[in-house]
Amino acid sequence: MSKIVNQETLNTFDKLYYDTYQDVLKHIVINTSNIDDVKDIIQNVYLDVLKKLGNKNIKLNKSYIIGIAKNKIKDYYRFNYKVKITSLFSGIRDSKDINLVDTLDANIDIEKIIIEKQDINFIWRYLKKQKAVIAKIFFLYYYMDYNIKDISLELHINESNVKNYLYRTLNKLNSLMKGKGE
Amino acid sequence: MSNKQIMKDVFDNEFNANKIRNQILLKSEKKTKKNMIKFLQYATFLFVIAIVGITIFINNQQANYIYSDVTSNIIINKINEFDLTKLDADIKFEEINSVNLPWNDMFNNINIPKDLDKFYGYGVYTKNDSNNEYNILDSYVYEYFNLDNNRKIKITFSNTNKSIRDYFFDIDDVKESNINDNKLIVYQSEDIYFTEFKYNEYYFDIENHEITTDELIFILKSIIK
Repeated sequence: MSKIVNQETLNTFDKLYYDTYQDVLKHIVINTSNIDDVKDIIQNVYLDVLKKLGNKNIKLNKSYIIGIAKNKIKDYYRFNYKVKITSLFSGIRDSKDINLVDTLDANIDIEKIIIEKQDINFIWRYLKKQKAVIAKIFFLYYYMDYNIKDISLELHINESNVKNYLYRTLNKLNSLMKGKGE
Repeated sequence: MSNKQIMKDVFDNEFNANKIRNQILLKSEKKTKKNMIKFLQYATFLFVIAIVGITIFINNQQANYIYSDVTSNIIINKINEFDLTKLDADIKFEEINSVNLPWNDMFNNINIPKDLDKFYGYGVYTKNDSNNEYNILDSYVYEYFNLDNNRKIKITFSNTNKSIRDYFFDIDDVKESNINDNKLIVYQSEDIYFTEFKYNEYYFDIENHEITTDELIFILKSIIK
């Protein structure tokens, strides 16, 4: 436990933190250009919350904290010279996405592809190297329990693409992990 | 294990709320400590600058360069009441007949301000330990003063030793003056000047009350030729 923050502040912080964490995490994952940056950004957000806790003029609630998160994302990429965020809402489409739709069966069952080996570190290392949209889809699908339709609405890509990304990535993961085990 | 569980574990390993919360608190603690160290370093730096500045200021206040010409260079060492320590000197005064006063001729040519037309001369004696009598001549004192007794020049001199005093100056870095290559030290405390020097084998101690700086320099230059 922190020796610098007093108990009362810590209690207030904890309540705010656990009440808002999932939503703030989701917002940051959706809006970053690299899922590997999410941990840093979310820590910066809540460090700011901790700093602002003593200020009675600020009403710290979920909206305010999401606002902090938006600013922290901007700051993070400005000061870390990372790739500028390309909003998924800008309508930019990867031409490969269209090809995916054409070449794969729309009725593919993602659940049939089972990752046979469970090396979570390997999976994470693989995911964070992929296109940002893939990590986001995986995050929303498996961690936030979104369905395909909700993901497509959230990320503004069509449902087929969501499915295809999931399918291809799972397949690739599986073959890589099989190869790794041999 | 299902894909769902595996992938949940993947993301939970990275984004576990408890783990991140602890990392946040640790970062906050480190940041606060770092800020405290930075603050202390900054405060120390400012403190050092302040001490240096005050020291320079005090030094500048202490020594005040006031007069210079071809033959003389007078620097006043300013002292405050805390630098001047009073002592209880075990002495006795005895008035001396003016005929017996030494150095009459020399003192006839001293430039004493005209309004200080009153004179009092005496000897300062210390105790003889063998017989408890005050019969050891320490020094002579010539006092020139005005009618109201507010302006005064007191010249203490001896050809054997520095004259006994009932005070001493507790200051560092005393600046010397000189007149005609003779060294002297001049102190000032409010409206009193204290000057000490050796000239022609005599030790001099001159104390002036409400005498101007110009008058003081005039007096000193009339003695130290």
